[in-house]
Amino acid sequence: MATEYPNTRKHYWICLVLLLVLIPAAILMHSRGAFIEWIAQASQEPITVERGKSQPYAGGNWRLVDLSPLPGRLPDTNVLLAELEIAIDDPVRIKQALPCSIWLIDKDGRRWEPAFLSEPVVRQMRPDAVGKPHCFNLPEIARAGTVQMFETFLIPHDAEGLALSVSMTGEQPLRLLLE
Amino acid sequence: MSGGLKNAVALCLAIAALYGMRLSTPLYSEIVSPVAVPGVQGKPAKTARFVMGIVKVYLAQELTAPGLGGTRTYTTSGRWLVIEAAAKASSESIALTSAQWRGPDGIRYAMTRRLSTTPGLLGSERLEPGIPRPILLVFELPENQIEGGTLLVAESVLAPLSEQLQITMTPIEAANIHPSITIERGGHILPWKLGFR
Repeated sequence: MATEYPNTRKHYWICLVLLLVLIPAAILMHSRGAFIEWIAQASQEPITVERGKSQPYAGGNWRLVDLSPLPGRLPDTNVLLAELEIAIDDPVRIKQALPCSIWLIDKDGRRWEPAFLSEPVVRQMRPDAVGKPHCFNLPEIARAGTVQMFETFLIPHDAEGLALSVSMTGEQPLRLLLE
Repeated sequence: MSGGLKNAVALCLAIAALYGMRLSTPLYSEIVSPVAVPGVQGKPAKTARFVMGIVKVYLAQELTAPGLGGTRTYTTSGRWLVIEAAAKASSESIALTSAQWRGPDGIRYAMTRRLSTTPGLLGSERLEPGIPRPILLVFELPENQIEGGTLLVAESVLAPLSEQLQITMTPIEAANIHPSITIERGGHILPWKLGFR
């Protein structure tokens, strides 16, 4: 005859409820902090900066000067020329914060990477933008003083509410959203 | 006796269930392999990051294409499968770098590397959100691996759990089978032009 222990069912349910706590805790511990770090990065809001205003970030003051649409070679497209100005006051900090990544974002959340080479229309209509620094070669020109940077993006005609997202790896999860 | 029979049946069922679970357990490579997204030729096929549609499919015995130093003619003991497609990124700039052909018996063929400088080949241009672009895919295949094949396209085969489009291809129309196809440089909108003989 089996021995009936008192409170068997109560212990059964307590153990089941404890599993709901212990399994997530085990996952968290096994991730060695990576999961918590991911949540922190995902929930971090960017620092929004209005057009023309500057914001201190990663050893410099960043300012979006202009977003100029130029005609694209493909139908229903534009080449967007983004002009930025960075007043670097701490070149060491900015070099430590590299690499730099920059994206163009629209109101629907779509993201465009900058073009690697300048489009021909930029060379024709904005020759002053040719040969200027980009985000990817910031290490070469990071010294105290003002740096003028240009990036070009190929976007569809219907892209609206555009803003520039700037992120330096050494400053994450902080990033700028230049409107 | 009845109790003994019950225990024996329960034991057999447990062994059968365990054996079934062991047989159906996927390999580690299958667990981290690309996530298959099915599609059919003639309709746009969507993954979370890109959309692709097949426009035209051609078959030829010989291919002429621009190469380093001039135009070159490529022959084969099988067939050249030339696919004109269009694709666009869904939400952010991406590069499609992987295209494979899976034959009817499961053998996979990578895209040919003999045509390295042909304009518009998959991987030659980055895809931007909202901007559809034409893409050319060229495979060199044995003749018996064409009918009933599936086109597999992904951003990368190296990234675990990335999505891979698996487009079931329809039989090639007789009008699209040629002895020779010539690929010439086109313009900005369509990077290539096809000629048939």
